[in-house]
Amino acid sequence: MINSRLLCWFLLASSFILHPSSFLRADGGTVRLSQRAGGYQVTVFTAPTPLRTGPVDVSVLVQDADTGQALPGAEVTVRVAPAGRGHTATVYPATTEAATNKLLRAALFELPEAGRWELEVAVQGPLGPARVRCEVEAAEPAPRWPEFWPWAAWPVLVILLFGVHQLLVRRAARPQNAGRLSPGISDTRPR
Amino acid sequence: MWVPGSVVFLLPLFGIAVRLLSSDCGLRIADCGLKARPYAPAPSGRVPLPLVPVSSANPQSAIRNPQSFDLLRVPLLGRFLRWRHARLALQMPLALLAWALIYDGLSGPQVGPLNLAGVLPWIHWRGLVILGLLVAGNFFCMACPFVLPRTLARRWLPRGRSWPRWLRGKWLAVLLLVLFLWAYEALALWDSPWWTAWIAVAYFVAAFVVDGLFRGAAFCKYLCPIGQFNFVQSLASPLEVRVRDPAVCAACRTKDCIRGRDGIPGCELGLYQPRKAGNMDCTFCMDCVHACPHDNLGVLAGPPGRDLWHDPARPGVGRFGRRPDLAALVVLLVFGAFANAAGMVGPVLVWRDRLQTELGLRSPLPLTSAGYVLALVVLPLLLVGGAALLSRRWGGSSASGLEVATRYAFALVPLGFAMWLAHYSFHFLSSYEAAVPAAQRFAADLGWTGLGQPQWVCACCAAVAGWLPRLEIVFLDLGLLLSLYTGYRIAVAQSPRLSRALWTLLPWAVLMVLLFLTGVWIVLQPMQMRGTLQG
Repeated sequence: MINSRLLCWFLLASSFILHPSSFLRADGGTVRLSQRAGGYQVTVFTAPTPLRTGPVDVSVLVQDADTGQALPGAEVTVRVAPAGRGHTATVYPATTEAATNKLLRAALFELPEAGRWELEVAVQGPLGPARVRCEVEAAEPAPRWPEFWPWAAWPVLVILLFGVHQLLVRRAARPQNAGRLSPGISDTRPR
Repeated sequence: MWVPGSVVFLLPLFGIAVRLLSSDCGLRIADCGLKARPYAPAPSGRVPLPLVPVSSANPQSAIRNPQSFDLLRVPLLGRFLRWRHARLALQMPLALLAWALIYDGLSGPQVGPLNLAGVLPWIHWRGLVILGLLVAGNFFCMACPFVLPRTLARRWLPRGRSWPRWLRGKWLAVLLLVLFLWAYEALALWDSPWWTAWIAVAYFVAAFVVDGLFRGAAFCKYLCPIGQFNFVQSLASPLEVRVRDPAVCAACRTKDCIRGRDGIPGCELGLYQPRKAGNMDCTFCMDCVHACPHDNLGVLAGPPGRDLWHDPARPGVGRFGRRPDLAALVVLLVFGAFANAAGMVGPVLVWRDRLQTELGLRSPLPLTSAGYVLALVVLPLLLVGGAALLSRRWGGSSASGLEVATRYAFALVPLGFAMWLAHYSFHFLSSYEAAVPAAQRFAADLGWTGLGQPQWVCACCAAVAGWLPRLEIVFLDLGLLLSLYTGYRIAVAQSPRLSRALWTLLPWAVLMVLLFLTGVWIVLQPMQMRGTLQG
C-alpha cells in the first residue's frame, strides 16, 4: 500500500534519477602551462573550464624559479592570436588589480571565436625578460539552456498535476461544501 | 540532456499520478502527517495526495504525532544531545577553531586562500550551516562559539537589565544584516583575513557585553545577523524542538521548560514549549529539554516549511502576519540570497567593471554600494510592494497592503533558502579541499610539521563536477515548489473562495517564478571561485 509520505519520497527520488545523465564542466580554472623561463617559474591558468568563446580569464603566477617566491614586481602581458595568424594578435596587460588573488596577474578579455588560440605570456621583472607560449582550444559558447531546461522545467508538471488534483477533489466535494473551501482551513490553526 | 533510459522511471510516476488524480477521496484526506485518526486507505484502495489540513477533533495531537522521528531517541546521538553539557562540548572545539582563525587572520598571510580566516568561514562554515539546515535544523546556533565566554562567566555577570522595549524587534538585526551583506561585497571580506578575524572578535565581545548586561539572550534574539539568518532558514528545516505529548504539558504545573529548575535555565528566548510553533528564534540550546522533568521534549521531524502554512500566536514571536519587522528580515534574506550570488558571476562582474571604466571611477565601491541599495532596498520595495497591492486588489482583500505583504513574505522563505543552499553548497562542494593547504601552512607556521608541506594544488584548479549545476537547479526547483505551495496555503486560508484565493496568489506566484528564473540564470553563469587561488 502506498501512502502519501512514500509518494513524497518517490517524487523527490525521481527528481534525482536524471542526475548522472551528462556532465558539464563549469568555471574552475585549468593550469595550461607551468614552465621555467629565464629565472622564473611561470604558471598560466585559464578559466572557464573548458575554455569557451566569450569572456575568459588568463591568470599568471610568476615565481622565482630557485626560491619559489612569488614576484609581485614583475610586469606581465598576455598576447593572444588565432593559431597560425600571429599578425592578428592582441596584447592584454595582466594586472594584479584584475586578479582577485593578489599573487596572480590576470587578463580579462573576450575570446571572439572558437578554435585554437596561441597564448604568449611575456614577463619583465627583476630577473630579466622571459616568454612562454602555449596553445589552447576554445569551444563554442556553451549552449546551456537547451541542456538544462528539463531540470528547471519539471516543476511545471508537478504544479499541473497538483492543480488538476485540487480541481478533481473540490469537484467531488462540491455537494457538501457548495464550492467553498473546507471550514477546517485556517491561517491561525493552533498547534 | 536526458539519458533515454531515465525516462523509464517516469512511467511508474505517471501511473501513480493518474491513480491519485482519479481518486474519489474528498477533502478529508491525510496531509503530511497531519491526520488525527490512524491511516485508512480509501475504499478504492487509492491513495490521496496531500491537500489542506482538515479540522480534526484534536489538531494538537494530530500535529504532535508520536510516530514522528525524534532525534533524541536515536542511539548515542540522542543520548549525547540529552546530556546537559552537550552544548558546551560542541562549543568548545568550535571556539578553539574560532580562536585559531582569529590568530591566523591577524598574524598570518593576508591572502584569503592561504589563511584559515580566508577559507574556513567563507567556504566551509557557510556550506555546512546551510546543509545542516537542510537536513536537520539550527544546529549551528546550538554549537555557536561566540556565546561561550558569556555562558562560562554567567554567574559573575550582572545580566539584570531588560532589553529596551523600543528595540524589541528585528529592525536592528535587519540593519546589521544589510551592513554585513554590503560589507561582504564592498570590503571583499572573503579576501581579507584581517577583517574576518576582527569580525569574529567583535562577535565574541558583543555577545559577552550584551548578554552580560541584559537578560533573555538579547544578543541572539535581537542582534546577531548569523542567528537571524539561521532562524529564518530553519523555518524550512525538517527538525524542531517541540513537545512529544501535549497531554503531559496540560497536566504539568511547574512549567520548568520556561522557568528552569535546579540551576538549569528555562528558555531564555521566551519560547513556551506547549504553545511553541516552528523554529523562529529557537537556538536549539536544549535548555528546555534538560529542564523538562517529564522528558516530554524531543527534536521531532516534520514536513519542511510546515510552520509557514499557519499563523498561530507564537509565544515569544507573535503572529507572523503582524510582524512587519520579521517580514522585512525575511525579504532581506530572500533578496540578499540572489544579490550575494549574483555579485560573484562573470557577466555581473564584467558589467560592473565596464560601467566603472565608463564612469571613470577609481574604485568599484560606489557601484557595488549602489547595486546593493538597488538589490536589498529598491527592488524588494517595488516587487514585494507591487505584489502586495495587486494581490490585495485582485483578491478583494480588506487587509492593508502592509498586512498582505507581511503575511505573504513568509511564502518566499523556501525560495530564498534554496538560493542560499545552491550558492553555498556550490562553493563548499567544489572547494572543500582548500582547507587542507591553509591548515598545513598554519601548522607549519606554528612549527608543527606533522601535517606536511602545504598542498597548494588543493586550493586551486579543481574542476567543478558536472552534476553540481544540476543539483543547484534541483534545489531551486524544490524551493519554488515549496514557496508556491506555502503561498497557496496562505491564500486558501485567507480567502473563502478558491478563485479569489488564486487571484490573490497570482502576483506572488509571478514574483516567485521571476526569482526562480533569476536563480537559474545565476547558476548557469561562471562563478568566481572565492576562497581559492583561482578566485
